[in-house]
Amino acid sequence: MEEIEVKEIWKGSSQHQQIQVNMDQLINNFKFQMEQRERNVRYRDLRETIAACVGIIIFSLAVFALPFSISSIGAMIVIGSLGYVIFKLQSNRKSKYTQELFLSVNEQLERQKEFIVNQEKLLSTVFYWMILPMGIGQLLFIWGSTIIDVSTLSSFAKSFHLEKSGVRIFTSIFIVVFGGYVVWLNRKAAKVNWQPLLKQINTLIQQLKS
Amino acid sequence: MKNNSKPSFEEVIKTNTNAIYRICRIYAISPLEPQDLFQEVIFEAWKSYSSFKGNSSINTWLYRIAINVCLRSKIQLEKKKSKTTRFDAIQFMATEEDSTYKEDERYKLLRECISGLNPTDTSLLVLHLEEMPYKEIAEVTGLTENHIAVKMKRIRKRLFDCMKPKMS
Repeated sequence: MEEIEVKEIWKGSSQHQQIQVNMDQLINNFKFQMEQRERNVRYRDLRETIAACVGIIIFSLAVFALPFSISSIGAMIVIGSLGYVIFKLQSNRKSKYTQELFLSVNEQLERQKEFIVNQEKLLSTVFYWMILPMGIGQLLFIWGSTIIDVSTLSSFAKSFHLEKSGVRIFTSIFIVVFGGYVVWLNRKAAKVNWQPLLKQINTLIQQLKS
Repeated sequence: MKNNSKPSFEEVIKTNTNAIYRICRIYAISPLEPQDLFQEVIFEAWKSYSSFKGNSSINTWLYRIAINVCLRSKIQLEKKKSKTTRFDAIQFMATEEDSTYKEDERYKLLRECISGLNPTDTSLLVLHLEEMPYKEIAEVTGLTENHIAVKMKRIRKRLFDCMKPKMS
């Protein structure tokens, strides 16, 4: 058997199907698909930004209403954390280089690997960049107001003050448990979604270079 | 073909339709159909076409996209099994059965033997079967020409070791 024969079999394999491409219609379809994808991404980013903005507005009002205290420091930490979380999520999603499919196979695989490593790291370290600062901020906010003379507060400022210690304890426990749940969910997602992909990419890179 | 006279996107696709389809067909594994992969390759090529600067030949550029999309699909398949929306703008029509039963069998055999290779070796082999010189295969893969030559020697041996006994 000669190589030329194999090439003939290969080339002949596309003879069974005739492929007709209506280019104008196809480009319109692509444009539509692209717009749809971009719209979905925009809506998702918008939803997250709105959620963060609501939080930022509420805690900003608290900073404004409460006298300077540990609570207002806590609120400022929460505001900073919310801003940082949005920045971190949206900047890590910019996977421009995984879209550059015109790069050489080796380069493209390396870039995909870099992207996957970043995503995996992002989820695995969610405790440090999201839960810890936000949790500290929220706990300071809740417990900081205990040393404020409540009688000097305006009625608006009082709405940010948790008077009963039972409510404070319950809210604090909820924050800790919820934070723990978020960390667990993210670590699980890293393990289930990204680690197998990383393993596959590493195998491909190894196979290509061997 | 350098960028001196950049061909139109339509022209590029028209010239390479069959080659792209052949590559997609090799990488397509159920539930992913060759048509879906083919459409994805054309979509990615269309998205990147404006950024083609002519640093490589247009064929090298297109084959890079085709191989990268096919390899990516193999990885993504495990992660999400979402179905691609198939566009009517691409029509696949079976031609009249002018091929013999023997030819079909030979292709099945070739396909079976290629499936025994790993995905990256498959990419080298299909580029070689598309008559691409080692220099261009090196540009597509990002490996050196010598590396390609060494790998191809090994791949070719594996392919023939698989095909010869069955063909006879």
